[in-house]
Amino acid sequence: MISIKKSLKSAGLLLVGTAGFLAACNKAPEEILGPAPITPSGLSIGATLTATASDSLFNRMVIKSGMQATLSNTALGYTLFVPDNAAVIASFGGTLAAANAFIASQSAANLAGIVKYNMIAQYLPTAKIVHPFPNMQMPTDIILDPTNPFIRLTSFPSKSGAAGATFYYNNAPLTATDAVVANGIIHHTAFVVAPSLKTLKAEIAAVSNLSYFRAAIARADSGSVGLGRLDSLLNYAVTNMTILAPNDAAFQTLIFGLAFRSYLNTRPMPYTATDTAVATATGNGAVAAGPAFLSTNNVTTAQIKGIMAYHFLAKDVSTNPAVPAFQPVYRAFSVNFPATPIFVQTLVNSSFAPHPGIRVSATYTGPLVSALTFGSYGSPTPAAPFTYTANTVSMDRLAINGVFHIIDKVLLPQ
Amino acid sequence: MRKCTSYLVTLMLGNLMALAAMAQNVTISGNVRNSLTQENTAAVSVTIKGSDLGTFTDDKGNFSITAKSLPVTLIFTSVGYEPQEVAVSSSSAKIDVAFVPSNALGQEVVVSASRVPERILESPVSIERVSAANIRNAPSATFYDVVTTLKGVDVTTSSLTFKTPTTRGFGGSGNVRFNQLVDGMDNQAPGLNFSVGAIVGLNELDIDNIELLSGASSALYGSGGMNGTMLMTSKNPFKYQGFSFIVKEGIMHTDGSERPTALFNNWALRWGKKVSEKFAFKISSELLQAKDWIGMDYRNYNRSAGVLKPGNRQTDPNYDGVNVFGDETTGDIRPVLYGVAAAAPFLAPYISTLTANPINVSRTGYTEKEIVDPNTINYKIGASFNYKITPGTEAVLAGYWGTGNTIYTGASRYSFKDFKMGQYRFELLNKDWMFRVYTTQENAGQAYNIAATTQNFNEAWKPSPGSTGWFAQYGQAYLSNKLNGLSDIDAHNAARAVADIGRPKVGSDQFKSLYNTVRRIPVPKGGALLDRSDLYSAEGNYNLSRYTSSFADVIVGGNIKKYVLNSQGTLFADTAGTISIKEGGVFVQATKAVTEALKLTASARYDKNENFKGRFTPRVTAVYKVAPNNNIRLSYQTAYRFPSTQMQWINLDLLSYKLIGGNQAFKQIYHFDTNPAYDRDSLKSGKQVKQSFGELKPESLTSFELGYRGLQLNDKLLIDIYGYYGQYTDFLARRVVVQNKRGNAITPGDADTGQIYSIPINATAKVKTYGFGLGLDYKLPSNFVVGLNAASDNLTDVPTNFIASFNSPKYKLNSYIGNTGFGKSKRYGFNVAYRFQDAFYFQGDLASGQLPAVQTLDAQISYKLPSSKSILKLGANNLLNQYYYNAVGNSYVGGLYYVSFGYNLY
Repeated sequence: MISIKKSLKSAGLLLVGTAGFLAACNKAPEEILGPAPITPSGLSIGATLTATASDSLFNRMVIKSGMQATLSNTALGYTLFVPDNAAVIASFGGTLAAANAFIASQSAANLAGIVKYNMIAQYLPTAKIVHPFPNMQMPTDIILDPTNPFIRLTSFPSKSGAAGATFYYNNAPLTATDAVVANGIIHHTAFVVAPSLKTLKAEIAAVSNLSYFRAAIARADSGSVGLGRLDSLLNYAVTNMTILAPNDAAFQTLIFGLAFRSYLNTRPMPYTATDTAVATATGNGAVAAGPAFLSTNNVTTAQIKGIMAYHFLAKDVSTNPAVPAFQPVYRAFSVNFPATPIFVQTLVNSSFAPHPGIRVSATYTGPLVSALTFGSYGSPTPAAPFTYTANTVSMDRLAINGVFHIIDKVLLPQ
Repeated sequence: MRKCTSYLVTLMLGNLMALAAMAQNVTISGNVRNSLTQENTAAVSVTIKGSDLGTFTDDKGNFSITAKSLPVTLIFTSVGYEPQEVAVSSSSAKIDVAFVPSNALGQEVVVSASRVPERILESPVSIERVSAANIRNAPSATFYDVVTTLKGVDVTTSSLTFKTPTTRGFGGSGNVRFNQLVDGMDNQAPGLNFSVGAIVGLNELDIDNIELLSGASSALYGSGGMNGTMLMTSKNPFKYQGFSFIVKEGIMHTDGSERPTALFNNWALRWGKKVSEKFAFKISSELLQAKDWIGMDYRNYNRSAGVLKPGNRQTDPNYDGVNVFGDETTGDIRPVLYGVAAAAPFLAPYISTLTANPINVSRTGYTEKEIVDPNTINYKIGASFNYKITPGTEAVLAGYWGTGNTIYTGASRYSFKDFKMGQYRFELLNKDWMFRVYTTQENAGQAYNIAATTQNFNEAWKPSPGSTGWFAQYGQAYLSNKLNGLSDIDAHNAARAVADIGRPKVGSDQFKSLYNTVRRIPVPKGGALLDRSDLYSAEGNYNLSRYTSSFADVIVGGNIKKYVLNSQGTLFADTAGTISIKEGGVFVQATKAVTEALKLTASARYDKNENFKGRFTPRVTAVYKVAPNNNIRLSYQTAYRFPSTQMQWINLDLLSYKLIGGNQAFKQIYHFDTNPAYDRDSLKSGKQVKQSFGELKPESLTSFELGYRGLQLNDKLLIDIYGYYGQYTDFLARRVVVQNKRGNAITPGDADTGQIYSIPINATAKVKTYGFGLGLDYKLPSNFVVGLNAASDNLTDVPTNFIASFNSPKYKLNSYIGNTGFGKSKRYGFNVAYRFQDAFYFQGDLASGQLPAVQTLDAQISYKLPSSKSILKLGANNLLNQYYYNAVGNSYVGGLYYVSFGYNLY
């Protein structure tokens, strides 16, 4: 019995020892750990702006706009295009006081519009800014249709410039890039990039020296309906177009030439001084008629339609090369054009696909474009194709649905 | 074949007539008691020396036997007692026998190793034996678990009642390389191809013994015994009489980690009655009810690559949890985003920044715990009617039927709800011959594929495709979330929340109604399996030794089998009607004692399946007695297996791929002759390797084994040690192939978008296995016994990228200490068993992955009530409640603590 007790005692001790040894021996399946997730560290975009003295003006805009909380939320991720103080000053009055005054004068909603237009909900380092001509269209934080979160105002980062190696946000060069912070990336812009909330039609309507252009559009649309009308296109918010808008002077030059030539064509050769004088008077008379000239039978609707179509840049969106379909579907800022001339197609190609289009080149001063030059296939007087050129009077006029460049000549497709 | 059967029947009839002519006229009666405890000793064999006449003591130790004349000598034998002879010269007085217990080691007699009774010490091959006494004294809550403690045995636990043993590798829930026979009947479900020994068959009270042959055994038992054969033999009602029952009440889930603490109820009864010297019967029944263990492996699985991967539902949009179902449905949401880009071109560049690679996301799944009925119920009933046509010839009509719910792991997890299977046999048994016919009737009940059901449940609630489908909703919400600045994973998670709006909540009426509807719809549109396959078998053997003993002891035999596959197209390619498969075989075995010390046995078997060429499997064994009770054994064995019924005819659409059989009919069904399939792995790496759909061949194994079993240290130490080496030829495995869905030329993209099949193949490489086992049992004073066994199984020469599913730990170890009677009246007993298995890489159809090492401790303490032959037992399986799992995706098994009362146990 004693030996049994001893045995049991030993067995008991063994059991206790074994229990201790075995406790927590078997392992439940543990989740396989992958690479440690990148947890946001450091300052958020909002905090970075606050901590960066040279961005204080834009930070003021952010704070006043109510967007600081969003930009400080490390659960979210944005790329923010930030004009530093110098850029803000340059954009808003030229002095610090003027810039401050401008910011103070703006409502929170207005400033939110500017800030949101510079926000892309995506980590977009410059390495990802790759695109065919002219740029990559990216949705900003401005939702145009509250019932549809996809309908947003878009912006246009690009890698363009004279050598195709400069980064831009719309037409603003990036002065500093790829500052990675806890919840996104900050790029700095050379000036404030602000959105437009008007359509091309409205923006063009607001430019006083485009009255002939508007009249030409109206004439070109006569007999057309719906979205087939150029006016409808210009007023359609979700299109994305590049328009070359000849100013009034350009049209007057064209009209004068047309009337002048029209009269001389009625005279036998060689022209006399009287002929020339009458022709000049006829031309001046036509110009004096103002934009209404374009609505009369002095020119045909087809002529005007062809000329206007030549001022809407377009590209082939067809997936079938045999059946091209040219549509005005891109927005080319001045900086998206290279210094070396290229040819771009227009809406003329939608009715005559082989048309060579317009030859365009940009003249760069630093990262900015000082002028765009557009070579026209046709010309008022006999000349080699593309030797008749127009230059920009004003560039990069932004609208919701596109950009327009005001030029000093009317381009002729033939 | 027909001629052979005729001869066999003629021989049997001859014996019957000869034996029936015997006369009987003197009756001797008496009683047998345990000399130490004075307990009545039941089931003691009482035979008249020099004759075939014999009987057994009943449950009160009484016996009665009739002799032709006096005097005679009665021989009393029983496992665990010293044999005793008593001379009887008068029939007038009762004979009282004081039967002397013996706990000598290695005295068991086994039958299955050579088809004839022999001492286990003299077995020519490795064999393990579990007696009814072992089961009584084991700490295991169910008798099936006792097998786990045997040397070299691995058990895969799918659920509480679904356990699959194997030896020498190739473990898994549906192990077709390991035979399980219950009273000679193949216990494998003919259609589902898994053995259901724990569900349908014997209950604990009706187990006479279990013999387990490790390694190749086809030469004796036909196709399938590549890795071993387990033979469960029930108690004969002539021998084991009386009413007995056992009530076992326990608790599980004590820590509440899987589910609230739940009861384990297990009640069994058996009644055996010898009505006369000629007729006896028995009935047995068992009910088990519990809340099952649960598969709770929520690791992320890359189903395409077949590996576990990092991530969970919160961090991986394409998460596919091992025990999470419904999330197998995966899709690329880029088409949705491209659709948005087409409709809103201004978003196209933004979308392009998101879509450089596929954005695969999976449907939201449900965990196994959420969807599977937690109730495990298993009810079995069995009956046997035994009639002694002559004293030496017994006719048996018997049946076992079982039903219940259980969980099985195959290519998916399967819930076998209301599964039913019956096995019915008629046999004639004589010491010289045996003839048996039996049938297995399978009914999958309301069985369903959990993954397919849950995938289709998701589709029934909200279809995946379409402009308003789940993926479209997800994709649009994802894009919207991205546009709102959310991080990628937050955008995914928020998108999932949007797409899952209205998702049926677990337990809700909507959930139950829809889920129950879908699980009753046959696959592939639902999850139901409608299997009603059957097996019909006839077999017999004849011991010719009385005619051939001058040369050798010779046994001949044969069998025929017919499978009738009937799944109504839900499992097999049997939409047009049932599929029949016939096979048969014959064998001959000769044993000769060459010298006093050397015994040689040679056997050969030939089998033929109608779909395959015949196979010849020889076997040669030698046993050399180096000293009394010390034997060295050497064997050369071959084994084979015809491809299982599933490997021949399965046609299961698992949505992400089709699991098909190797029958040539599939060539036409899936047009492989005109639209060939290609190896998917090769296609992924840019190579086009056409997969021929060749003729499948049976797999075969050649095995050598050297072993020693003997007694040392004054017969107190039993040693069993073996080493083996085996080589597999035409190894049956599966390969994943892909076919262009439109019948066009294959392209690299088809690796992901084509029709994927898993097809059976014969591997050309010769895979080799080797290993060893060591068992030590030592008898201590005062009836204490300690033991330890260890084994190692290894696989080698496995070709690269070859999925062998060896699934065996390199090392495993069992140890125990026990006592069947200690204390003043030797009424106390106890047993403590420890098991360790090494970590290993598990390869399964459901999932593959590393399994950690497992250690378990089982224990029991018991108290006997001799007057009623009752035992009160307090036991624990997995005493320390250390949850373990032994296959990826299988249930986590925790502690089970029980108390049992068994009445009239012997």
